[in-house]
Amino acid sequence: MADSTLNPRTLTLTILIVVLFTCGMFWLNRSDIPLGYTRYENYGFSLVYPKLMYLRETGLPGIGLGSDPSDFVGLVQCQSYWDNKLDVFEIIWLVKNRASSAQSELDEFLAAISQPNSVVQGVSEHFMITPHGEEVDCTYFELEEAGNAFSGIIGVIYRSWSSPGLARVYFVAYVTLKGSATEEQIRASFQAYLDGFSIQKPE
Amino acid sequence: MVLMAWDHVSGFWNQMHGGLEGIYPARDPALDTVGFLSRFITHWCAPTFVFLAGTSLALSTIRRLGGGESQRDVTLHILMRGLILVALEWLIVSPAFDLPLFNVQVIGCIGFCLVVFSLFRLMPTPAILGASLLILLNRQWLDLSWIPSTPIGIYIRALINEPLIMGGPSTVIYPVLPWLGVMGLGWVFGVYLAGLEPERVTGLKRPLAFVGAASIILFVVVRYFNGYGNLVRRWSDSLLDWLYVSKYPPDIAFFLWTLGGMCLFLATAMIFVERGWQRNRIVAAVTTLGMVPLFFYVAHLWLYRLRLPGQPAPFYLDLPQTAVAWLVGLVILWLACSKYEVIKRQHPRLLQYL
Repeated sequence: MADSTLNPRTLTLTILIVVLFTCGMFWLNRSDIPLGYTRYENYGFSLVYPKLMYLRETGLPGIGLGSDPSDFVGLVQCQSYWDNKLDVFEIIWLVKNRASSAQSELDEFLAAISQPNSVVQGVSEHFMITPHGEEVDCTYFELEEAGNAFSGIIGVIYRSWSSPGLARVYFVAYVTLKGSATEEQIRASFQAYLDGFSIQKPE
Repeated sequence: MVLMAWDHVSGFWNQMHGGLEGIYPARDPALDTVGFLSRFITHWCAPTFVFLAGTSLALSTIRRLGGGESQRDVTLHILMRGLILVALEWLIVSPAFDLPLFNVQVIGCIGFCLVVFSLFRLMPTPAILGASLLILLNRQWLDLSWIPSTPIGIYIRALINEPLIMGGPSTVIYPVLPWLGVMGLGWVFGVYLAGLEPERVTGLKRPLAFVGAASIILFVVVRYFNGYGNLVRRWSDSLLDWLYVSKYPPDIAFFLWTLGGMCLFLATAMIFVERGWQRNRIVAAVTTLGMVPLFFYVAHLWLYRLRLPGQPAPFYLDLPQTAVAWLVGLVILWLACSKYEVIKRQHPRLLQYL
């Protein structure tokens, strides 16, 4: 028994309606967040990161700055350990008196996190990365902690704070297992995460 | 069906067998390429099952109506068959997987689809085609967050569109909506087949091969762009990441690959029929399994499980040992299915719902 409604004219019309409806839905649901990623927003910045990464917020008790994050100090860390590949991207923010330069701020921070059980080594020459036109003063580093060796990049970004003479400083870092990636790969991963990082409007 | 048996025997006895693609947002790194592919090839089963359920529903409905049955009787028959499948899922299939009572997997999902189809089928065929395509292409945007997050609300959301493996009153890994779209496409194919002279059916091999190849090319395009049509991101350019698509819930990439593959299989089957190869003993044995699919499904689960509900596996098998168990099970199932097929032919009314 043939179905007389199943003819080229009705089929074309049906497919046209489906295509138009789907295009409309696609338009209505367009998003600037790529598939598989999600957005974190707080403490004056936003970060688009892979959904499967584990994100945690904390203070900086390791350097004596409190165990809970606040507007003044904190750490947001995204981490994945998958297929023997470690990926960590972290953002640390501090409110402090304006430093003389981003470079000195970065050196001071690296010295502060160097402790007997967490040794920062092999800091390279400083270099500049400019995602979204933002200047990020960066350096490669190596870290030994609890018998594990890591390598990565850390950069610093300045933002003026509402009170005169104060600044909010963002340290952004990418860390992976030492030997699992070349310097170029580390820089490419860092830049990929940095592309998803943006500081919200100046305060 | 033999691939499905492979999937299940591996799930019961091989610890290195994958699963829950989509619920896990990235592939299990512990699985090597062979382990991954041994699960991946089984993706063809469920879409083919559901599509052909729609096709056979269309053919049997047209035959019943042509034989003088009323629309009401046909609706009641489909409704009854759907409810029996749901009951089978809850009472016989779920214990085989050690899953809770109201769990919904492929049999229960087909059952719920039949319940919907008992009325959905009354729409004109182009409307069923349009609705099915709209479901498949747009269901990822369906927002059910307005349903209260009570246990029943969570279960209803899962049943409609959002798989659930924890945090609800039961598990649902086959939500009805996407699979309803597949059954709708199968229905339309069945209506088209019913309008063909029997000798012209094998002439569909070229269009089927074309649609199959086009679907697989579209799969590559969708995975390449890594956006619309994917519920699981392609995390790298490795072959396995290209192939790691979401089955729970099924995304467009999954359906393009599996339904495209099904079209190629159907085209190949038509070549077999044209050349008389279906009389080959192995092909004939596989065909016997396909003539009693529900019996095969229920029987194979308990045969391969080979232990009481709630009992963990006493030991595990590696891949070659699992393959041997699979082949031995298929021989036993072929013998059982052959017997059941004879009984079914002798008592068509008694076993009409099974």
